[in-house]
Amino acid sequence: MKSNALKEAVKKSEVALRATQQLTAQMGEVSHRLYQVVSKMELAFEAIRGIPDEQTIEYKNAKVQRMKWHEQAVEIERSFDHAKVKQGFGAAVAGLGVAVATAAPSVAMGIATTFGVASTGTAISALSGAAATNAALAWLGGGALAAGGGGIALGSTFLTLSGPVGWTIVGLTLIPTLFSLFKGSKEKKEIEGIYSRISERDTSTLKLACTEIKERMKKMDDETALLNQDLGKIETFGIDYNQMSEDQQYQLGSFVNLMSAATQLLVTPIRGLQPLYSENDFYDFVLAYGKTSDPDYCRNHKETILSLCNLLYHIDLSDTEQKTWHKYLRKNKKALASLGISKEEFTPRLLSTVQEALSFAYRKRTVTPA
Amino acid sequence: MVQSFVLEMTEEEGLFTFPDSLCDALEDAKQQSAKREKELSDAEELICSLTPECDKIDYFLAAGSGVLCGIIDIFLVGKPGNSPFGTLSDQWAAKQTIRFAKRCGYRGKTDSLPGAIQFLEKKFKVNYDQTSGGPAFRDVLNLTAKNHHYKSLGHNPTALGLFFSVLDQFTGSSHFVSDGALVSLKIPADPDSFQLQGTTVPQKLFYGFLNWFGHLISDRSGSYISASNGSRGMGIPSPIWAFSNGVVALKNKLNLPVNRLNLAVREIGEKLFEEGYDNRFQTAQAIPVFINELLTRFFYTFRRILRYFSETPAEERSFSAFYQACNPFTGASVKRMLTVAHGSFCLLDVGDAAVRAAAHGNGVEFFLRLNLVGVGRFTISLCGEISRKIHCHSARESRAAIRKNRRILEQYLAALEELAEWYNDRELAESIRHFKACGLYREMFLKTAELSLKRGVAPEKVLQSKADIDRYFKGGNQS
Repeated sequence: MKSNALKEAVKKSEVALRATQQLTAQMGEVSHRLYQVVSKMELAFEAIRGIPDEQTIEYKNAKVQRMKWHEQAVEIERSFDHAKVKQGFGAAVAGLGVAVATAAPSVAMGIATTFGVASTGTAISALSGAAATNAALAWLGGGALAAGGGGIALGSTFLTLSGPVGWTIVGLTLIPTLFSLFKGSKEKKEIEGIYSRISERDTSTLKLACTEIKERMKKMDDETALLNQDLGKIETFGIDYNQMSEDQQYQLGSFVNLMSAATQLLVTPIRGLQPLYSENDFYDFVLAYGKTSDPDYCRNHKETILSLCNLLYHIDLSDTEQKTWHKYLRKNKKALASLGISKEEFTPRLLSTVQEALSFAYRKRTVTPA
Repeated sequence: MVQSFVLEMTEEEGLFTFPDSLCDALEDAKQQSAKREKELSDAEELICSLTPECDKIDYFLAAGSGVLCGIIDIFLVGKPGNSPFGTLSDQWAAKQTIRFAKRCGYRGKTDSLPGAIQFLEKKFKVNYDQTSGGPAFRDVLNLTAKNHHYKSLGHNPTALGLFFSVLDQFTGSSHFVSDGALVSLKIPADPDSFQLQGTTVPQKLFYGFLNWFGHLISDRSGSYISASNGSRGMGIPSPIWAFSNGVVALKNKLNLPVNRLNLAVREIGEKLFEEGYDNRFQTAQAIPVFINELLTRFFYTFRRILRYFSETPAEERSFSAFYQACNPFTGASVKRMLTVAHGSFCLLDVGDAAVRAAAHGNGVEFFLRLNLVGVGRFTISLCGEISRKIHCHSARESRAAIRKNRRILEQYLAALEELAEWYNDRELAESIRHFKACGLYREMFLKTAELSLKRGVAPEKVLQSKADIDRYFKGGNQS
């Protein structure tokens, strides 16, 4: 039986997770409308420009990003359909609500926006391709899939990619085993406190994501309407740029800028859903850590350190809490497996390295730990 | 559509109110943050109030006070019959008895204790005052003039003593505790010797209480006979030892077994009483304890007064701040000093009693010399220390939890502020609309460039001038 505080914290993160998933699905529809109008506008510009030369290509970067974003959405949708057929996934996602279970194309677009596209055209997390798609798919499937129904292996890659959503899913699957492992009420209380704080942190990041998604949708709606009006206007200008008045040329320039700004709404990731501790943070740490200790140890345990850093980000553990948590994880094979760590690998040294890595990240971000 | 979804979530889950906008979310987070800060400062304040801030001098003064009063206790309190403070408390009790008798209407000789006692015994007559009571009492209860105030429950200055006194007055019986048994003896009715005043039950209860109290005062300085002989006489038992009688009486009434410890304690109490350890002697024992209390509080206050005047500039002084800094009645520091003072007092007192008891080879000697008032006061101090320690520990835990949660909230707030900055382009959007409506397309263009830059489009990819527009659409052929 979970205690009330933990139960409430877990319940809240579940609610926040569902809200985020549903809002993401809604954002997919809004993204789709914006994508359509931006694509039409791009076609109108192509018609005016004629055949592009080398110099115009640099301005077309927005298109490249948009196309990558669209490809990502299509890939997510394709994998989703494949999983449904192959693994009877429909039943597993039934609990997630109609929007997620049935409206895959728009959900896929929502997720594509969530993950974002960098200016280079790769997934913002720098882990593109199959790993990104798998993570997106696992996220789409939620806890039902992660708990073992879908055959997508959870592990550090998934956790690193899917940010707080991933942690909420993993956390939910681990907590039920918590109380069977400890007899002492003090240890139980400590573990309960740690997981309550993790749930609370995830809830606040998911809440942040919900707030941003809603704000993003409002902007997308507004700009879709605006660009639609502008699109009608471009058609009245004709296709010969030299024949246009200066006012019309300025308007065209404005529309290009507005299109670029609108594309940013599609490709900029939702910050609340990004990993809390990134690979860059890890490499910065290894560079600094190498001066005093063994950087090879860090490199050899990169995935594990990334996993644990994301799990414990902003979760301050006292010395006794660290010991108890270490004991708990070592006893809990399921928990270790979900983190992609072996029992032998999970040593006190690993935990202290994680704490150092986190302290380094806090210092780097000029946030003073409590 | 977005709005309806939000409302649906709010009603369905009942756990969150998802804010409608970034502004609302920020406002909400700021309120939560302020609430958390308040909780944290409350916890800090509580910890501060529960943590003593005594320095070495404070501890030295407190221990010194305890030792000084311990020496006073050894030499001036000692044991019944050989106690300068005991003599003082006997005289004080006698004066109080005479004063009480005068208030009740005694018009006899002003300094005559026997007269006052005789007056009070008649005025507050009770039916359970058998000093020896003849063979029946002697044989059954081993009741003597020396122990009858102890054995008779009505003579005990405790709540239970009051209860049995009133019961005896109503029923015409007498209750005694003897050898672990509660004995009730029915006295043949004699309307001339005793009759409880009052006609209604409440009146009788009131007079019953008056008789009990008045009779205790009359017995406090011994009997009429002992006072006439100039001897100390037997007073009334001390409330602490009389409690052992109460335990035996209660267990008997509730049919619970009376164990050996109960019997042993009661027996020691009886022996002590027979040796003269009564209410008056316990008053004498309270004197050094009281001095210790006063002296320690004085040391505490005196040092704080000096500190206040040396550290607080004249323009910042106020009565309330002064009282807060020097208040000798509350605060963990003064309480810690009292614990040390009473602890060192007890150490000396118990040591002296143990050595003398060992020298006499008599356990009763130990209890005769043991200052029970001091031990009681020290126990209260110790309980206070333990309670403060427990509260402080729990306050520290709560502070740590608040700090850990505050960290999460701080990050949430910082992230919201970042988001608010990123999404704050309403002014730009309105300007674009305004210039568009007015036909000011050049100005509109500049604002759209500004908007793109704000959204994070790379500067080289934003059209920022007419030349940029021409290059974009004409591919460098600017004909």
